[in-house]
Amino acid sequence: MDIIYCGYFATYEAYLCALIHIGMEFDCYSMYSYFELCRKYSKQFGNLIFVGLDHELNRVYAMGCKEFTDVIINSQSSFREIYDIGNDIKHIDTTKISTSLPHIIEKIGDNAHLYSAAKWLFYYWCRRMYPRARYFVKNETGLFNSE
Amino acid sequence: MKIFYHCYGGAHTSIVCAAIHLNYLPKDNIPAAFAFKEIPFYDKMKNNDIGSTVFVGTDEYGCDIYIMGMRNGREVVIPAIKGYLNEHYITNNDILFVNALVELHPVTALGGMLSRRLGLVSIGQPLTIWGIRRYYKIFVELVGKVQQKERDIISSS
Repeated sequence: MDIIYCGYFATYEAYLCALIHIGMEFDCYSMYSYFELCRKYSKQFGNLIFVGLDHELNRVYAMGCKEFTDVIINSQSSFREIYDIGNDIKHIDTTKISTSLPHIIEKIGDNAHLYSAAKWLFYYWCRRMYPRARYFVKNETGLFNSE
Repeated sequence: MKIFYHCYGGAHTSIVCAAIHLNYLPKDNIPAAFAFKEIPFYDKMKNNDIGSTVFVGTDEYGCDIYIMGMRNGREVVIPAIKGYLNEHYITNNDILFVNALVELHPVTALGGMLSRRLGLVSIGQPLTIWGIRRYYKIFVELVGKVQQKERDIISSS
């Protein structure tokens, strides 16, 4: 099965949920690299970013859809049928848990003087979002039910 | 080969282009209003189905003709589709996406909004047809270019 986490940006919530899904633990040391990754790939709209395989060997992706998540979900499902693609597809819309902070981080991160502020905001966003994203992934996929 | 005519909602201009392509509508004159109403799927796409493809028919070269709506997000939706197909080792060479929103009469836009978004079909549908009839030649020209490209692709392969 293909599991695609869809968000406004390709990174931030969508990528974080995908990381949680494949079982990547997240610590303060990896935050800086995650910040760099989010900034670098956030505007890859429409491109599937392969994140990894989960414990059931499902392929997990993150994708930035801007405000067209529903359109992309319908279109990919239609093309799956047209081309008779055997793999099931599951889209998970992470805009349900999104906040406006990633938009602000993206805006101010482009300014060299405000880069540190963007980084600080990102750490704040991460700390707030991680438990929320974990709960969301658990609810959407049934993972971590044994906990 | 598969040709996808796409527009905002997949209900009006894309379906008209597909109908011209498949000779349901004439290329040499502007059809009467009732002819548009008789096209299958004209003014039928629901708001929450936007993005889904609808198979309209197969043309004389054996190409499948589809329509779909993409709102104004074709820069995002098309890469998402192609990326998904690439992940499954399906090449994009035999897919042609055609933007049927080359020229949109404002009355068509207004009619489309009334009919599809507000559900006022009896008011909106005639307005869409009125606008499309004004720009009908533009759609015929577009389809002519698509068919030329289709012939080029087929002859080169």
